[in-house]
Parts: sequence; structure tokens; C-alpha cells
Amino acid sequence: MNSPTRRNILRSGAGFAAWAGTAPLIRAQAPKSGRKYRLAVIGGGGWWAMNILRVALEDGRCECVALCDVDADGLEVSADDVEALTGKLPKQYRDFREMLEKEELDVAIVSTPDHWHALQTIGCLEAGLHVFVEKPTGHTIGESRAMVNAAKAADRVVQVGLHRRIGPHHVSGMEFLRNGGAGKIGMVRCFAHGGGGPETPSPNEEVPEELDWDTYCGPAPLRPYNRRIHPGGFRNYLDFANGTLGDWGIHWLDQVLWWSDEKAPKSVHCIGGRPVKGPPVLNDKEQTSDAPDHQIATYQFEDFSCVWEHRRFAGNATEKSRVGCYFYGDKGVFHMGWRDGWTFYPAKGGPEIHEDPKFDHEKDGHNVPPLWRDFIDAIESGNKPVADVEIGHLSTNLSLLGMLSWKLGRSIEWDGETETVPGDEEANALLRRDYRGPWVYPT
Amino acid sequence: MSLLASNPRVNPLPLLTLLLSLSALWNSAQAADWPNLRGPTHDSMSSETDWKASDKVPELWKSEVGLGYSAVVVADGRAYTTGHNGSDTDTIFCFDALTGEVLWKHSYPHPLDDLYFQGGTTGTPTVEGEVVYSVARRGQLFCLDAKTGAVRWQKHLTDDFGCKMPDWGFTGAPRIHGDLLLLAAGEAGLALKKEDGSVAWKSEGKEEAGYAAPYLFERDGRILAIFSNADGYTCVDPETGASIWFYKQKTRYGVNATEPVVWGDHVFLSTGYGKGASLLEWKGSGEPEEIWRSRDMCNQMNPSLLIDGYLYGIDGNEGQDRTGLKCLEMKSGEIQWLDESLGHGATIAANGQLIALSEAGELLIGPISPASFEPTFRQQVVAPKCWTIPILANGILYCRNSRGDLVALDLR
Repeated sequence: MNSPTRRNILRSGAGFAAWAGTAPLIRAQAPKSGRKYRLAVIGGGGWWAMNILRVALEDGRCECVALCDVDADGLEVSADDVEALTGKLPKQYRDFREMLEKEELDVAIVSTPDHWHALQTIGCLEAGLHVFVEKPTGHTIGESRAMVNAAKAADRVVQVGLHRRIGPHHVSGMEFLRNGGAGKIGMVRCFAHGGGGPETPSPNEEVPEELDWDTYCGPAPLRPYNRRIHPGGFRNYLDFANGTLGDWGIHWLDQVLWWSDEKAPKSVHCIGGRPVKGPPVLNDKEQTSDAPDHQIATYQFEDFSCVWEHRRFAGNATEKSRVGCYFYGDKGVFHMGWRDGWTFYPAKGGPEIHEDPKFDHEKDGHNVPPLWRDFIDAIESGNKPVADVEIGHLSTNLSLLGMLSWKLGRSIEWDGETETVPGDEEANALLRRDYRGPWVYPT
Repeated sequence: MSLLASNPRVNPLPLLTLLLSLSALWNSAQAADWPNLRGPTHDSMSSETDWKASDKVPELWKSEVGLGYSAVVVADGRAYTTGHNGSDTDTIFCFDALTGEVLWKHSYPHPLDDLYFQGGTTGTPTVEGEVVYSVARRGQLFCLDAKTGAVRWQKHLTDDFGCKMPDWGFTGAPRIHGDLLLLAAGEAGLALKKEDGSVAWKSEGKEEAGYAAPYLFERDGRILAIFSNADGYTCVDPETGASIWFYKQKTRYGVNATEPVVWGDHVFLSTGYGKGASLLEWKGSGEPEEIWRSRDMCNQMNPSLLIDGYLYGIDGNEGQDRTGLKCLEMKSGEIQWLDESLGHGATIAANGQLIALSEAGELLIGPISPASFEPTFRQQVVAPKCWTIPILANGILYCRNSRGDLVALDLR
């Protein structure tokens, strides 16, 4: 019998191949430079970060040298996962600044809660790294713009995790739309609906030993620790993210910008609230989430109107789909979906036109592998990646403008050139936020 | 009762004596009952041979118990399980095992707690004699009269004993050990006196419990217990709670949810989230030694079955690709086969057959073999999604899904 260590490597090799089983077989590529890019993951203790990292290792042009996370448990588990995949244990850090200082790195994955994306991405860019950052780009519009500026200044590639920019049915669906398949499009409706009910507060807890909660909160206000936030629940807390509109919203609103080549709407209005989940609770003893349980945002573009809708109650049984966007053209309705692919419903009746999705990972239903390849290809070719930081920024802005209007309780005008709300200081003040402690808002 | 009814002229007194002695016999040969989560021998296997599945298996009865993953347990003609009403209440159900008539129900307030899943009950009751024990995710512990559902005593694992609630709630089924009730609570278990729920011992430490039921095994004439927690598995003396050894097995969400498989000197431990399994060797003293560690068998919710040196278990996480029933040689850890058609279902074994309920609600029965799984019987029995083991008791197979459709199938 082989030694346990040797066995581990052999077995994990087999497991790795099995995991990649549904993806088209890809020969691990050699990096152009002749050596592998040295990769680190910020937020590496989370499962989604690990999914991206697996894809990166499968591509073969990077080696994972370091992981960073404020959660020592997640960090340990991920490091163990990496060792099983590669035979090499990555270095582990709790503070990304220390990691950037000590390690010689080429590439970073940033997969932390939204409120950390800007500082960490900019930190990496300033250290000369290329960055793959999860969507959204920023938590506020100013942060997101600062990321675009930093990428330009550093002349580095930033790919935003918008894998729906490269998924095969999205690409073919866009081709169908751009070739006039649905005719002249006057309106788009994007949506993500699900089930859910009232939310009962859950008790705050002592911060687990393994978690650096102060750094988790980082530039955001410090609040009592609650298991519902970490691990995995930050999206429903507006200090750290922007709810469903700031999550699903970006994927689907991005499809609208992709189809239209538009950069920004002229005006935005958003309503919504928590009539079902109930008012947010936050005190010493307990808390709930505070993201709206439904929102309706309208965007006026030059040539068309766009609506965003989400609900976290009732489901959506009256329609065929729970997520996606409807493009309404004079020839019919085009639905760009997720697991249901895309379908065109002609206005005059007649047969529907449909295409199934093709995912690299069936159950997760995503196309991260080609997005990662495109990222490394862009580093090697000097071309822009498909979900370049500017693209991610403009899509993120749509979500953040919706949130801004919702917070103000009124509509806003938007100047996409200057990225300001003309003559509206109250609104412009919300393009940024005050940071806590030593953290400095990026410009 | 049916004996009485069919013999109306018999003097009831001697008959009662006969019934009592029959009942004593029945109790001593309870192999046909399934009184706790993993069955009479705590290994998901039944010794029943008098059952068959051919053509279409008839539905004896069906019911709705609400959201959850609680398995069915059967003892003395009664079947028990739990479910949640989707808003604010858990219910423990007691059915007539043959007719499905609801004999009693015990409800108590409980939130849905849909943390990254649909929510609902996760624990399974344990029956012993006249008593049924049931633990709720938030920590309510009930000792109920098995016949009437009357509360004999009740406790609360966090309020009364200070045990920290695991993220998905207390889930491990209670385990009987003599006069003690062993509970998957605290860093390395909690033992209460069965008679009144008072503390016999309580483990030290702040770590929260795992989701596996306490597991008992015999070693050199001593009974020992293994408890899971967020970081691994601890072997303790069930009389005192004294720790004997600890094996670290850490997953991303602090989930160790499956009971160990112990065979001779070997202890097999497996967990989901891509973490995998370890085969340990423990010679009866000191720390166990790792023989192999592998990611080829990730048992997220139900433990593997060990049959003739081979492990049969659901490998992989729910909601992930490449999840299915897998066979591994225990000694070497070598993969024998993987059947993805089961998804994240669950299986038991009886009479040389695997009786598996697929995630999609299809019942598959086929011979146990390290060569392959070739079901000879298939029938759609409930709607998706099924993560809970089917259980076989007295020729009846009880299957449930996550939304709470419960069906009793007649294999007699």
C-alpha cells in the first residue's frame, strides 16, 4: 500500500477529473511565459471561491500559492482542498495586505462580500496583479468607478465574474436578437422570483474564535455577529451587499446592456420594501436581514424602457420561468433564461424557437470555465476580456442606481458621462459611503 | 386485537396472558421493527427476509406530514415521524403502522429555519418500549408516551443544558444506552437519565454538536460511544462522558452528519462538502491511526453501509454534479462503481438487496454486489425530493420526501 500522502494525491487526481467530468475535456494549457501564474484567492475560505479556484487549476496556467480569509476554519478547509487537488499546501493569510506584501503574485481571485471588492481589487492592482473579481464590482458607485480607474492606471486585466457573458445560449441568444430575430425591441423586463415568507429575528452570537469579525465588517459598520450573515448570508444585509437586485439583478441587467450596447439609463425609479419579511430588526440581542423582499425598478434608456422585478415570496408559477429577461420586440417576445435556455415566442403565433443551455457544470448551471480561460487569454494577448471591469461597472451601476432611488424614495435623473445625478446633492451623496475605522474610500 | 376479533368465543383472560407472552416474544425479537433512525442494528440494515418486490408494489396507505427530512421509525405496530407546517409548527406523528390511521400528534411551536434549504424537521424520533424520544432543531426534547403521545417529561437542550445549537439545528437522533439517553448535543455529547431527563453527564468545551446520532460499539467488553461535532469525531465512555480519542474532520460548514461505521479495529468516518472519508485503525488504546484518507466517498447526510468488506453510500453533496450511490472497497478505498441515477437519495439493505430511494423518488431494489448495481425492481413511489432513508419494518417499506408525502408500501 502506498503512503497516505501519496495515496491522497493519486486519489484526489481521480476525484478532480471526476469533478470536471461534465465539462468538455480541456487539455491543461501551458502559460505563454513558460511558468505558471502565481495565484492567490482573497476570500478563499468560501465555497464559491473554491469553485472558481478549481476551474483555474483545471485550466492549468496558474498555481495556487496562497489563500486569504478572515475565517480561519474556511481557510483551513480550502487549503486542505487545494492540497488534495495539487499536492501542494498553499500559504494561508488572514489579512490580504500582509499577503500582497509577502507573496510574489501574478493573479488574484477576489471573492469576498461586496463591500470589500473595491479595496481588495485596487490593492491587488496596485501590487501589479491581474484580478478576477466576483460581481458586483463595487458596493457603491464611487467604489466601482475607482476600480475601473485603478485597472487603467495599473494596465492590468480585471475580469468580473459575469459568466452569463460567455455561456453558449447567452451568446447565441444575443446573436438572435442582434440579427433582428425579435424585431425592433421597445421594452425589456428582467426578473428573479422565488418563494419565501416572514423572517423571524435570529439571536446574535459570540463571534466564533476562528473569525476575525472586525475585519469581516471592514469598511462597513460593525454590527453584532450573527450566523445568518456568515458564512454565506451577507447578500441580504445592505451594509455588505445590495440584496437580490445587487446579486441576480446584475446578471440580467447586464444582458440588457450587452444587447443594446447602451452604457447608462437617463432616469431610474425604484420602489419596494419588506411587507412579507417584515421590518428589519437590529439590536444587541437579535437581528434580521434588511434587504427588500421585493423591488420594482424602471430604467429609461434612449431607445427603450427596462424593468427589473424581484420577489422573494409567492414563487412565479403563473409564468414559465422564475428568472431571466423578456425582450419585447415587434416580432414577438424573447425570453433569455437560465436552466431553460432561450425561447422566442412569435407575436403572430407559429412555432417557438428555442435553444437549450450548455453548462460546464450542470447542477450549478454556470459557465465559469470559459470565463476563466478568457481571463487568462486576455492577460496573455493584451486584449480586453469579455467581462472587463468597465462592463461589470456599468452593469453594477444599474443595480446600484435602483438601490439609490429606492433609498431616496423617488426617481432620479442620471448622467452616464459624468456618473452623477445632475443638480441633486442628496442623491449624489449616496454615490459613496463613509468608511469605518482606518479604511479610506477609494477614488 | 385481530386475534380477539376473529375468536369471539374465546375466554379473554387466558388469551390476554397469551397476548402478553406473545408481546414479550415480539419485544425480544424486534428484528422486524425499525425503532430508530438506522434500524435495529444501527447500520441501516434489516434482517428481514420475508418480503418481495415484483411488478407493482401496492400502496398500503399514505399521508402528509409536512416539510422535513425526518425518517420513519416503527415499533410495536406504530409508525412515527415528524414534519413542519411551513410556517410556525413542528408535529410529531404517530400512525397505526398498518392502516396509516393517525393515533396521536404532538405539535409545538418551531420556526421553519430555512437556512440554505427549504427548512423543516431534520431529526428522527427514537422509540424504546413505551416511550418515544424526539429532538427539535431548536433544542426542544420530548419524552412522550408511545401509545398516547402524552408528555412524560420535556427539556430544552440550550435553555436547560447550555448546549450551543448547531447552524442547522439539533439533528442527530437520540440513542438509548441502558438507563441513559445519549444526545447529539454539546462538544462530545450529552447524557440524560431516561426516567426524568436529568443530567447524567455533559461534555466540556464550547464546540457545537455535529448532526450524527450518537453511535455505540463494543471494544474489549466495554461499550463506547462516538459523537460528532463541528470539527470531527470524539470517542467517549458513555457512562461518564470521559473522552478517549478525537479525530479531526473539518468541513466548510462544520458539518459532520453521518454516523461512523465500526468493524473490528476499523472505524470508517465520512463527511460531505468534498471532504471525504477516512479509514482509521484503533487498537483499543491511544489515538486511532489513519489507514487511508480519500475524497472518493463523501457521505453528506447518510452513512455508508458496510457489507462483506465493501462500503455502499451516497457520495457527493445534494445539488452537485456526480452525486450518486457508490461502492468502495473498505480495505483499500478503491472505487468499485458509481450509479448516478440515484442522485442524492438514500439506501438501506435487507436480504442481500439494496433498497434505495432515489432523490427523484424512485424506489430501486437490486442485489448487493461490488461489481455493479443492477436494479431488478423500479417504481416511482413519491415525488422528489428524497434525502431520507426508506425504512423496512415487518414487510412494509416507509418512504417520505422533503415536502412530507409519506407512503407505506406493502412488500409482504
